[in-house]
Amino acid sequence: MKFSIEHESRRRIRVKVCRNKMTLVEADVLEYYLAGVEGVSKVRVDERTCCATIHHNTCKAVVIDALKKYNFEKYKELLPEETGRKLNRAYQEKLVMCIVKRTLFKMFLPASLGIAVTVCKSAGYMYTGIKTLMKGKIEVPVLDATAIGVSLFRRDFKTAASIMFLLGVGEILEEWTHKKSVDDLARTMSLDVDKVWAVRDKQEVLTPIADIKVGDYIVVRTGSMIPLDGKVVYGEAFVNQASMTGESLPVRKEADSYAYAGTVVEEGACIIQVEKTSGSGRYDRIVEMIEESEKLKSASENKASHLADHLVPYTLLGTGLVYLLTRNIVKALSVLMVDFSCALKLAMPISVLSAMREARGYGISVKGGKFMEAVAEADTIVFDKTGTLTHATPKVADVVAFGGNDRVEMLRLAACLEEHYPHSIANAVVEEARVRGLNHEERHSKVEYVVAHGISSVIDGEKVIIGSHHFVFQDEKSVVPEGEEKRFDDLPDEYSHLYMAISGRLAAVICISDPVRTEANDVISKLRSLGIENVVMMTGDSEKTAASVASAIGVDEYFSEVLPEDKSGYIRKEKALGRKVIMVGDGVNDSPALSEADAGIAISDGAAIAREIADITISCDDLYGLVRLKELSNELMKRINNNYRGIIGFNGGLIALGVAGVIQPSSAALLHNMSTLFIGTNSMTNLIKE
Amino acid sequence: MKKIWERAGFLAGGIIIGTAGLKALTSRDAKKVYTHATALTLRAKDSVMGTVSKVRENCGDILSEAQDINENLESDEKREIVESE
Repeated sequence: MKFSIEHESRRRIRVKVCRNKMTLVEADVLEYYLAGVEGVSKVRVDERTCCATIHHNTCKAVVIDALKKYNFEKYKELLPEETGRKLNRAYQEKLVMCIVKRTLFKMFLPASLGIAVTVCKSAGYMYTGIKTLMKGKIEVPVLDATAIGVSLFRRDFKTAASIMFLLGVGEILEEWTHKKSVDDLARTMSLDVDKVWAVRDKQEVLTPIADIKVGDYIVVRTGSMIPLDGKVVYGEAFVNQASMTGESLPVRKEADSYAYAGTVVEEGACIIQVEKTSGSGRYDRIVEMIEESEKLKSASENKASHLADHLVPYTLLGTGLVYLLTRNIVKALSVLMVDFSCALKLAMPISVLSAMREARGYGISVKGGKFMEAVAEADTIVFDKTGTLTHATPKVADVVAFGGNDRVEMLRLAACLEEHYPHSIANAVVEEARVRGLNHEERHSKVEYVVAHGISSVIDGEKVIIGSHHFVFQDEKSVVPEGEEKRFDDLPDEYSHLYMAISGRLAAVICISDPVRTEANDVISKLRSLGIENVVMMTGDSEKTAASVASAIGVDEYFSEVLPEDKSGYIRKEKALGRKVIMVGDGVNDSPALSEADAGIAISDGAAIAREIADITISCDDLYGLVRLKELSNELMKRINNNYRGIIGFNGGLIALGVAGVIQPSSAALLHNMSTLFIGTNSMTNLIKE
Repeated sequence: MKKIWERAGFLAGGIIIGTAGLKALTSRDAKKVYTHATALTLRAKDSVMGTVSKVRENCGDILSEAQDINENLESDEKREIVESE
């Protein structure tokens, strides 16, 4: 491929592909390739102009070298199923066309026709306004309709048209914001599950999804997403099919039921015979699922319209008051003419869009503006210890065998059972077995997962359970072999313990060391300085382990040996006290708490279900992502409030001057539009300056 | 009498426009005209979007070069400083 250098400066090069046209895919491939080149900080390939703008912090030669090595066919594989280019292109077009249309109308359309068009267009706004009023609400649509209606009534068709134009632009921007955030999230998620458990020769083997053929058997368990369409042949599972049917209650699946890709197993396990292989609309399903969960959640409206809604009664009241005082309908109407809600509706989505874009730059994807609002207002943060405050990779420190069992054999057995669950402690056991070179055949029967407690299965006719102290000793009534109580009591406290019992007798205790992240302390104190008052830690660990961790990192409150329902119960209680709560978690057992919280944050290595339920996902290597998120949210709220005050103050001043008769309505309108434009552009800048 | 003729004329004209005019508007040739007009609109749209992109890129060029100029100025202003012992 030939490139010509169109422009270059110290840290930016713009090259043009030497041809007239580029397809969307070609542009995408080039952009992805260049973004992966070392030293390149930002790339933008425009398929319309065939230009690639490359921002870099190395020298020109590196970029030129990379361009020389480019090969479309070779790098085509890099591309994910959806890149969002089409979406952005569509909205860009919509926006530009909206502006072009308005300009053309203004310039060429005869006045009488223009009036007809304006009247026709206004009908829609009138209808929504009246509908809102019928519901007994005085909100933005009412104000829009009043402003448009009054303008029409006064035969001021120009004002009516420009109000509708600004409202239209605001609407497009709002829709774009939403679609884009959903799209980004879905893309990161659809790239995710790339390995599945396939049943081969009566054994479960972890297989890349690309290797699965129609007719293969795959196993799906609690917390995992069903990766492919197929028929259930064995097992029983409760599946959340909200993405398919919109039904939020899980559906029971048993043999002969049909399971759909993109749906999530909430509980249970099943074997599925694959009927359709990868690549068939997985992305679309995830998008639907996210939109569905959004719909279920959007009980409160987003901040932008919320703020504007608050204003509506005052604006109407102001209009009435001015009329009563001055008995001059023109002056009264000048209050309505300088319309607050246009500026608010335009500035708010821009601020939110820009904040989300900035967050994505830090590896944070947010599902909606209202969650950033919730994070900004939050005063309580609840951490699930494992995987968030600690590294997601705990290690096996020791295996203590009881009842004359062999340590190595016990580890092998534990790994054999634990390997099926997406939990960090399970991963640790499996990893330890792998490092020690312990191969294990799958000789157990179906593995049953008891959320937050542990797992149980049957091997050679004996029941084997692995899990917490509570699960093994209280629920399953296992006992410590006689004469070994002393050894059991002497188990070191600094580790978390995983207990394994065979046929009701303790067989081994696996000591897991899960060091707290070094930055945890710093992150917590930073969060405090950003407005968090109450830091809470929840863990399934024993009281002793929890206490030592809690004091080390400086949390206000901690709860040990908690169950999932305790977590969500605590959050409910805090919310009832009027607090705003953030929950940070990573696993299946955090899901109820994540959805209960005002903002649920999932750390990216966690279970798929946690990420789907969470409002925000963070894919940073350290906890500083949380600090950045909180900073961004605070700044966003500050900006929104500043915009709000700026818009109200400035336009309020305009109204006052208009009512006093100091300035003409036309110059008031000009100043109003200029200020709207200024606030809009200002809202696009980064919140955190480098 | 004249009025009646006038009215009849309008009536006839109306009938002609209503039948022949409609025929003309829905004829094959007319369809060709519509197609070309649509194509023209689409092309215009593309060219508008192309211009927008070009303007954006050129603005980027100007901005980056302006930043370079300022950086150069800044480095020029930095004087060598000698400190006595």
